[in-house]
Amino acid sequence: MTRDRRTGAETVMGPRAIRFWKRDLPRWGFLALVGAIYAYMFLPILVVVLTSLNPTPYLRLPPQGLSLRWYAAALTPDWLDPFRVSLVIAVASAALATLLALPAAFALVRHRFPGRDVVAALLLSPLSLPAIVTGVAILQFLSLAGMRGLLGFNSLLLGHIVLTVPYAIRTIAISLHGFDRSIEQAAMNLGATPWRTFRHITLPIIKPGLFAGMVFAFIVSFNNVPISLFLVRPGMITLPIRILNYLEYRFDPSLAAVNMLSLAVILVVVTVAERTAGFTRFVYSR
Amino acid sequence: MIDVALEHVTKRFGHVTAVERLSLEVRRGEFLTLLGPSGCGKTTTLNMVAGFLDPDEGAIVLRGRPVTFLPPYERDTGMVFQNYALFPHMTVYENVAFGLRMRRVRDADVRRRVHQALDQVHLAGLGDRYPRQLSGGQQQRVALARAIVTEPAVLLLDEPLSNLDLKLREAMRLELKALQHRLGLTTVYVTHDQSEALVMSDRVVVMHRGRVEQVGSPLDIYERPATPFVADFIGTMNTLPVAPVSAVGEDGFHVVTSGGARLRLPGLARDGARLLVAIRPEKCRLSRERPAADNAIPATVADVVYLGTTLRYQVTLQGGDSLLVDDLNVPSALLARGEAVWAVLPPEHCLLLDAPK
Amino acid sequence: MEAGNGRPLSTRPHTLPSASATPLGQGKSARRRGPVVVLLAPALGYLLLLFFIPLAILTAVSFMGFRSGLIVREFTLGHYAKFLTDPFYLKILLTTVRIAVSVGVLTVMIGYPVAYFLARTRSKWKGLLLALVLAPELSGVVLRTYGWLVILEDRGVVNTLLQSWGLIATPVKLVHNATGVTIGMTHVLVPFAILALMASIQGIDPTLELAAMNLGASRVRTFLRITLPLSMPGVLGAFFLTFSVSAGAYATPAILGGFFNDTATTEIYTQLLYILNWPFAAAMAVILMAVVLAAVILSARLAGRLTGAPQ
Repeated sequence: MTRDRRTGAETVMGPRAIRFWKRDLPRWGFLALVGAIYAYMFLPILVVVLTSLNPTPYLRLPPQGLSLRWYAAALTPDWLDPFRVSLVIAVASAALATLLALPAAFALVRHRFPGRDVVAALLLSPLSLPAIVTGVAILQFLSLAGMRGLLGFNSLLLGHIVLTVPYAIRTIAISLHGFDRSIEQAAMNLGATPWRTFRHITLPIIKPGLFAGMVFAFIVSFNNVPISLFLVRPGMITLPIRILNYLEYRFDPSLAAVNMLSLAVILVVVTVAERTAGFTRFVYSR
Repeated sequence: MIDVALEHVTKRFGHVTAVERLSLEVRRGEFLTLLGPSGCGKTTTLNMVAGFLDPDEGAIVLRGRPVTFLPPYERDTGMVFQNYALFPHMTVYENVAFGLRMRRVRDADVRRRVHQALDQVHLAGLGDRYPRQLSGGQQQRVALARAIVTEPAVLLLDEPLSNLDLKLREAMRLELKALQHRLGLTTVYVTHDQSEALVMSDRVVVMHRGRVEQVGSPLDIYERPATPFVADFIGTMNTLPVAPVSAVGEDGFHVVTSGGARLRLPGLARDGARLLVAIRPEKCRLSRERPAADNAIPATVADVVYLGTTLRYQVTLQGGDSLLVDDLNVPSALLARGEAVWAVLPPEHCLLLDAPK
Repeated sequence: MEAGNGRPLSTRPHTLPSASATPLGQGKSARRRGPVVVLLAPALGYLLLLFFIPLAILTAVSFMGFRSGLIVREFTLGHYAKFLTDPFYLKILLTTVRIAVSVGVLTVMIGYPVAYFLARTRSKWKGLLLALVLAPELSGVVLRTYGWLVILEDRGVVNTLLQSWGLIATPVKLVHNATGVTIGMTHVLVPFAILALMASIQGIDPTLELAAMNLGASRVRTFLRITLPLSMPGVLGAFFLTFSVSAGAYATPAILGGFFNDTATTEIYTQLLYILNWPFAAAMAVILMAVVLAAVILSARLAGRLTGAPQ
């Protein structure tokens, strides 16, 4: 037993021991827990990466080599066709959703009018509903209205826009909200017409938000399952649905390679969006 | 009896040293104030005593028990926070009872002691309220009751009055001091408000850039500041750069101001070419005629400011130095701007300090 | 971003920043009502046509008859009655709710430490760490659920490891059942819980925790007596949020449940595309919608409430 001026004379612990047990251990223990949860969140993604590069059909840890055989299997029309469909639908629905969302976001942020809150709630309501319900509803609507012919590319695009519009509205509204309106007033004061003000002042300033909204919409559409589920038709199928259908009957690492393909697209899009528009600040801004 | 001792305590945040080799002892029942501008390390010091921060070096001892790295809940301090930190989801009673419950005091004793504490801060009968239903002053009293009910080894107060309005603040100063005195609470008080420190403290520790500038009674601190920083920080002080002109003669030590005026100072000579003479405005005198006193310097009145009971003259000494002089507001003695006068700096009120580097 | 049923990565999707801080004058605002309608018309019109009208039709269909594979124009409550009385469907509802409750509890428990860390850290990496929480969401639910399948299946990572260590002889069944669905869905929804909890914890003054410790409360007691009670609105908000998203999710139950129709969403799919009983599928969708909306409204109410004292 040591008596030490710096710590507890009445305890058996020395100063280092006290510092370790009472201060450092709880602190580092908590940080370790947080780190473990972070690791957990990336675990399945890491597993998919490993699986896609693993030569054997079942992943063994540690990996037993490196192989691109599953990528060869993934780069066939079986997978590339749905991949192309997903890309085109995502780009088109993001662009169209932004066109619909921009004026609506303007109205919601810039104007006070009776029923504004209700209108906002209505415009965002597709986000609160299970999207599978939306998918079912659109399928039944198209069928009962005699528009089954739209099923496939057209229905996918129409259905995805229902979901991407509210995302775009939300993101654009966030970027409009922090906008200093005196800049516009200054422009008009200098003789710019409202349209020229919008074109030369407002639009350039909100462009990051607009772009972020579009990227959001792209990702939502690109990853979508529950709406696509009901609106695809043979020969016109999106990648996530193709993966689901495949999984129903088979399970092999070529799926991992396919998934890496879609992850690569998202990484590229998000990286570009982050570099050019500071994407993440729109993700968690509220 | 020493309740709190800090021994060569150092705390760094990254490359910034917040507190540097601070040693301090607080006697039982003493009201000690850590005074200084923001960023001087006073709150960091308090947080190390409470256990919210670890010192990088040195030791902290509470009532003879070394507590340097013990967590806050294994020390015995009672803290009143600047924002009071009352638990919003608990009533006043539950707030005050919290510390007793954590110490597993019997229910009957909890009740008795909580009511006693609420009595002491004049809040009897408000136990069922929630903090947000109380005024700022009442919340402050709850925070105080909560801190003293456990009879801690030391009461720690972190600018507790700064969120109150001026009038309430002045009333609370006296009340807090009276309570502290009545209960004999060993108290460490942190403030940047010098008048608060002077009114309430037994001893004041003036801190600057993580170091102690001076420790002393309020009178010491005010009348005999030890450094130019203390002289400048407490009250209003004239400081004149001077250079020594002679060794100590029969009548004292002679210096000359940058403007060429010669001053006689009592006491011993000081080494160093860069010295300051410090004198408070109320200790200086002005007169129209040349006075017989020592240290009379010709001057011109540059400005007059009315401070109510006193007048504050700003005069320009021969040679260009500026000097503030307080005088009673007597109409007959009023001097006009531009008037030629004599400024007297009585030797016994002149302090000689080392000029800051 | 997208969690099996396309929910946004935000705790309160149906809120928007309030109107501009410098509102237009009243008279001006009235003059501008015309433009407001024009601005809103495209988006509202689109959603009316492809969201609200389809939903109304869905609800109408749920009250229609179904005989010999055809929809019959008659009013009936039969589909609702069938769903709420048939033990087979009640079991599905129960499983769905049970999984959703487990997911809600687990996401809050797993999310709380990270939310607390992010709410309290003064690290300059905070922005990055927050982005990392959200990053997995961007990769899509199919990818992550597939990853869990690789980990959990009979010849997957977990079972192989346990067998090689001699802890088990035969594989533990971790997928194609509620366990697998719960594990996968919890993972997908943890970021949602983190955001909801973080907002709530950030509203708690950290000096309250210091005060409690100063009064003798250990870290655990400080958490139980101060932090947890004060973050309760966030805890309940996060719970109901992940509950509602989980109840309406399709991809994870499909993949990790092995396409067995254990949950409401997978059963809706089967009824709609294999059995072709549209009215019944519609009725189930309406019931699911009701359950989810109830939870969403609760979560918004709770998350919106100010942290702190009872009102």
